[in-house]
Amino acid sequence: MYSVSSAFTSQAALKLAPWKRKFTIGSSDYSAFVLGWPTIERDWDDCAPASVTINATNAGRTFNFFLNDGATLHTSCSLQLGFDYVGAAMFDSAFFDSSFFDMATGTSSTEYITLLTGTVDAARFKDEKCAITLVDKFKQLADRVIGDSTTPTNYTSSNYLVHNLAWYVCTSHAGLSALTSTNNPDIDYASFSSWTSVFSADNVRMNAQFTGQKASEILKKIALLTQSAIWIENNKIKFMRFSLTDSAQTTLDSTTTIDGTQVMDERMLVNKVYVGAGYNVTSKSYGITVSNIDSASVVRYGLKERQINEDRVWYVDSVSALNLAQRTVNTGRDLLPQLTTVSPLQAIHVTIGDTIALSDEHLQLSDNYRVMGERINMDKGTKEFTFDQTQYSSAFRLDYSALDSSDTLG
Amino acid sequence: MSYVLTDGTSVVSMNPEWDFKLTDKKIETVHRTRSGAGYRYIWGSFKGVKFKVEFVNSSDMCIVNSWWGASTALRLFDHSSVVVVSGYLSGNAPPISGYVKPYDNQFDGVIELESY
Repeated sequence: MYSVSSAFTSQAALKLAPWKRKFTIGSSDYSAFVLGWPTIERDWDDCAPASVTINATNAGRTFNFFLNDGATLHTSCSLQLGFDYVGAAMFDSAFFDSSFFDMATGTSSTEYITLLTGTVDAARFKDEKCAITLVDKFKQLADRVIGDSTTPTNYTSSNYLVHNLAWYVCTSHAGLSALTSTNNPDIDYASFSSWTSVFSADNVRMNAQFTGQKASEILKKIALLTQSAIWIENNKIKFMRFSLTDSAQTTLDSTTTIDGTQVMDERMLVNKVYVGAGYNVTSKSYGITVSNIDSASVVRYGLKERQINEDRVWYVDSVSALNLAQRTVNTGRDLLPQLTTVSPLQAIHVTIGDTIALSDEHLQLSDNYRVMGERINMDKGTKEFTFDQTQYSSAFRLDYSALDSSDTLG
Repeated sequence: MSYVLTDGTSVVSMNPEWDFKLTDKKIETVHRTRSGAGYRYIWGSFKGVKFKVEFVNSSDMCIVNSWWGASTALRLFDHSSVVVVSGYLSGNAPPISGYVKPYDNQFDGVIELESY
């Protein structure tokens, strides 16, 4: 969740919220030149650079500085949404917060959520217009490869904890900051620390061999092999494996949603998983295959099998591989709805990993769901959430095989 | 009606015809939720004014048309010296370009100003 004040959330919930949008290049505000604002998309396990294109007027040759010096493309840019708390007229007593407006002195403040920070990937000029494409921090991971086909980079000399491997990929190879504190400008170290504790506790270990893969591609494989969420929030890469029961941060219902969909997709079902481990890079074969099955789900839905083999990053032993096999079955054994909602901006501060209480009379929904993806349309002022309960441990599932050990209630 | 158009240096007095029209356009998005609640986000707005002028002398015509050519920032004052619109002369042709029949030293045209 984005860290915002109570004044911000109160303001955001208003039907006439006085939103402001900002586009900055370096420290300069270019919002007044924007003709069309972009839609910012991100999902929980993509690990791919998010790019957006801003259409701006160049009638006054404002953006010609990109043409004069290509290095200016590397200037940090940001897209923001928020409020200027200017003057008492902006305030209603219901959401007045003295930290943002001092009635005695008349000072004012601003509060914005930074939705995307990045650099310019491309600036395209046509007539009096300029289309500026921004790309986020994952770009740096996509720009760098690890090893090459004749001299691979090997992580096979010892058995590496998952988080250590991810740390080497991000820092040693992709060049992100290796600062092991919350002051790390590139990695959300608080979330990374929590993430490490999951694999330390379970002693989940990996080997790897990189032969020219992009750092972002390797991070994506680690996300898939550990069912981890790796995304960018506040310009820092955030790591999380959803395992806690979270209370809902906000509620969405028919008064706060414009549109919504619900899908029951049987292709999401997985109740028996095989995970390859102990990969031999010479013989190109797996020494171990671990499987896990949920018998109750097989009885209910039929056998839904999946094999997970990765030959650039792999588990070293059966205990580590079983960790993934069990989690994949636990999150895939039940057919759960996948939901999307489109809302105005009242829940703009809620983001990937957060929990929302969702209710819909027609679809007979009234439960908590985890946000797995988001699409913020800065032009229209809407936010689309993608939800499900696969990664939400409080979702109620009746495991009747555990009740009487016969897969039959009686 | 007597109005004044100025760039802060030169001043041109004008007598708009009765087609004088002020505009004010909001840039907003309106969202109607499934229960009918309305969310209205106003991202910005811009003002404008459009009116016909007649019997403009050649000196004033040249000044106004040069403002149009250079996209000079202008202010239009009303008879109470209140700024009606601050903006640029819009359109893709010089605003004052026709003769007032039968005079060869009096001109007419349409002043269209949009705020910046």
